[in-house]
Amino acid sequence: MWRIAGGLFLGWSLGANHSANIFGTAVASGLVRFSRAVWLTAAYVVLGAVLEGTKCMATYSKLAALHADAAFALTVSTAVTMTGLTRAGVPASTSQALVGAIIGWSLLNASPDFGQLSRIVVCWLLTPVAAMVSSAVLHRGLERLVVERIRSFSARNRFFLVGVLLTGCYAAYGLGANSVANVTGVYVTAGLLRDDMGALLGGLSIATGILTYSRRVMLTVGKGIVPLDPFSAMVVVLAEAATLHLFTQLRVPVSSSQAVVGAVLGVGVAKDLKTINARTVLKIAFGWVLTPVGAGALALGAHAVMNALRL
Amino acid sequence: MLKKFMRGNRKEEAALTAMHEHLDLLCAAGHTLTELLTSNAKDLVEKIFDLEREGDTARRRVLSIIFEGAFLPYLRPNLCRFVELVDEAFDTVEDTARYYDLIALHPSITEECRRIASFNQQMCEILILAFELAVRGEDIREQVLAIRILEKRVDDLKGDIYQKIHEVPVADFWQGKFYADFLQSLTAFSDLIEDASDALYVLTVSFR
Repeated sequence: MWRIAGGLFLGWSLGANHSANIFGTAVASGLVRFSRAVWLTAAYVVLGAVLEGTKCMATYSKLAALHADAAFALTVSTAVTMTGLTRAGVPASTSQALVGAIIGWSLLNASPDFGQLSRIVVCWLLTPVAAMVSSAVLHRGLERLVVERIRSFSARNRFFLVGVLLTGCYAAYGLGANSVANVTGVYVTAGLLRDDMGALLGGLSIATGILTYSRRVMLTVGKGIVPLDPFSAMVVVLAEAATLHLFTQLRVPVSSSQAVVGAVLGVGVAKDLKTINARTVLKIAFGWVLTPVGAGALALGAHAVMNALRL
Repeated sequence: MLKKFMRGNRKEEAALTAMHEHLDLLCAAGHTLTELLTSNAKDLVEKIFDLEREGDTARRRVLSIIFEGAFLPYLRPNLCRFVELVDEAFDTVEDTARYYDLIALHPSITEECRRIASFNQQMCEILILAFELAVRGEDIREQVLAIRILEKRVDDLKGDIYQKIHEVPVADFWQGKFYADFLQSLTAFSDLIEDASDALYVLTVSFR
């Protein structure tokens, strides 16, 4: 059971990092208190993980057969890759790193299911696209149907305040439902955990990361996104939540960071295409390729070393 | 129920009510100043001082409500700037009354000064209208434009006064200083109201 510690550590770091995508803007701008933001995020992450988290776990079991040692090595490889890319300032996805690690691991003595892999890759490509489209549609639609009709200062103020809280809770739910498979999915595949127990433990580990170590990332990311007006920030979080929820129903773990990037691009499309910085988009796209390749190479190396040492 | 919910919480309503009260007091002070310059009833100076004190209380109330958490954080700096500009305008009305009390206005510039005071009062009334429209989320471009036009007229009258000021006899240095300070504060009011209307316009744009 000690092997689960690798997954729990991954869940902790995922929670510490990804919670910024949910209430980062609201906390950095003083709209929501940090303590309220983290408790709401943690509660809804656990709720999402317990209610819908098991949906994505089967995806990893279909990708390759894994045993307990492999599960531990994979989560550690993923955590190392994520840490390296985060330090390099490249936006990285836990699910991409984990899938890359599984493929890298299984290349040596077991053949991965490339059919399943291609389905996952298609979903990865569709994540930012879906977030971008939903964000652009939501921005235009909500602006015409709701925002333009709420005209008074106090009512609009109230709408944004409540909207930010509701969309944040929904996004936290989506994060829990979609990302918990990244944390404990490989242990469920390896038979170390039942899927409902995996969902609960994974959700709790993400929640622990949110509650204990998210302040710095939340403020950094939040301040970076602050130039977005409150309506656009709310739409970005809502589009991210809808995208994560959609892919949870398709049973594929995807990246919340990529959903956020896609959603921000969608707001850029809805407002003015000139606001999009092509170089930044290319840098992010580079990270999407580098993440699974880096994690795959690391897992392959780990597997080769373990084989050589006959572990 | 939705309407009740969207009406906002008490903090925002309280802040807006206090801001309106602040503007009403400014308008009353502007009206009193016009009366003072027209009737030369010096007891009105004290009334302006009282109004300014009440205005200060209203300003403090608005700012404390905003700092207690009324309105979205990104709106607060613009709201506070608007309130501070209105308060600066209030200070100039008080200064104008104080200096007027210390000088004897020369007949050659009396009419121009009265017209400036009247324009100032009109600008105040338009600013209140603009504030009421802005709070309801309506366009205030026309009101901002009207304030700019009146400010231009005040500037023109200021030019006229400076043309004639050489003819005004001055008894000593202090008499001259009070005259200059009176004219300075009388004409600075319109600039501050114009700045306040611009700040209000920025506020409405940032809230869209």
